[in-house]
Amino acid sequence: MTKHPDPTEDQILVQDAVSGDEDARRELFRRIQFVGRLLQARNNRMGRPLDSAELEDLVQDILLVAWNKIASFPPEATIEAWAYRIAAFELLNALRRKGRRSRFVDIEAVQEPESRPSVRAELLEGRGLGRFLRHLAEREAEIVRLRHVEGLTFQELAGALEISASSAKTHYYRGLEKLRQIFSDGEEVR
Amino acid sequence: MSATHDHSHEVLLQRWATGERLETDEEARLRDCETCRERMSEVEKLVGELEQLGREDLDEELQEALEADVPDFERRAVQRAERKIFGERTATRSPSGVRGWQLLAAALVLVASFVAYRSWSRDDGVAPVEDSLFYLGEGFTELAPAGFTEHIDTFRWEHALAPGGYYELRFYLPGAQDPFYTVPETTETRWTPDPELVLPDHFRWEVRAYDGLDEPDGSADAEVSHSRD
Ligand SMILES: [Zn+2]
Repeated sequence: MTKHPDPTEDQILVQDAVSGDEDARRELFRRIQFVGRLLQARNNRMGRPLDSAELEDLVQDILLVAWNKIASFPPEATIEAWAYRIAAFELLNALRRKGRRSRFVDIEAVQEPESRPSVRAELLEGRGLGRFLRHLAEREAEIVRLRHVEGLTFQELAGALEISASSAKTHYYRGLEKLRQIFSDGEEVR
Repeated sequence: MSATHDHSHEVLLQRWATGERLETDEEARLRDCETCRERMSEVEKLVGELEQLGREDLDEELQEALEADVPDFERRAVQRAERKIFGERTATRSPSGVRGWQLLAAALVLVASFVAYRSWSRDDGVAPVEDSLFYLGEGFTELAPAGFTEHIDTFRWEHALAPGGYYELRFYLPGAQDPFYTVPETTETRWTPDPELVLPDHFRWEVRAYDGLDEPDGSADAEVSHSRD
């Protein structure tokens, strides 16, 4: 099992950092640096749409955005999960700016088994939600994932996908209904 | 007794499942329909499962990232961000493999330089804007004041407002989750506080944009430090 940082301790660390405690500020900054490694792994999985200079700029941006958002750190969150969501959102926007958005979501590899067999195999055996979302159309799966893994609001994910919020909701609901029907017919989610 | 499930219920169910707030009578219509009640409980269960799977995926991905070797671009990005955040003149340490005394020494130097930087900024009389002190969200192209400033007069921002949209301003004390002051619905891209409103020396302000459907449409925020002499 994954080692979970304690949300309460994280909350205290954030409060101390915000009130200007230098050790806390340092510690907090240290805790969010892993976003570089996170992006590297994602970028590799997507076939490296971003080069290392772009990754460097993006990581810097994410660190600064996270830093400036500290005061709105949500209760119950862990610092890593919080930074992860910011990183995922900023990555999505960076890819959109680069016109490579369509390769963002893992699930799309599942939809193209011929082109990327190893990724497909990895996903089918690996991450839970990817296996689950194979029942959906590409766009539906993408939106369900952005909503429930990346934790984006409809407004955020619609903006990043360059569609309207109402269209995002329609795709989302269609996907949700497909899953509901499949699983209410007796199939278990896991 | 149960209401007949019809198309209008489907519309309501979709709005409910996508997080829209329903009117009291709309909620009542769903509750009075057995089909809808069943559907809602299935959707809730499904969403619970999706979120659980999502959390597991996230945990796994986080753990992999935390265990991976630190790539060079991360080191460089960290150094650049560190300079902006902590105001250092020299970039420093790698995240691992540094001895405790080195860390302590580095921390002392950094604290000293940060303090020096802050007092320099204030004493100098000019108003240097430290660019790490504000966040320009999607759609925002300008935000002022931000950073150290001598005098606060008007709050300004640049943003293309959606038709029927509006802005809301929120002011926070350092570290506070709840604003100490808010300015509800304005369609202008500037706001001048009432002279009676005393702003604290340090605060953060945020402008939130909403579209014509009251949906959030981006936000930007900035930290401000000023002297009131
Ligand atoms: Zn009904």
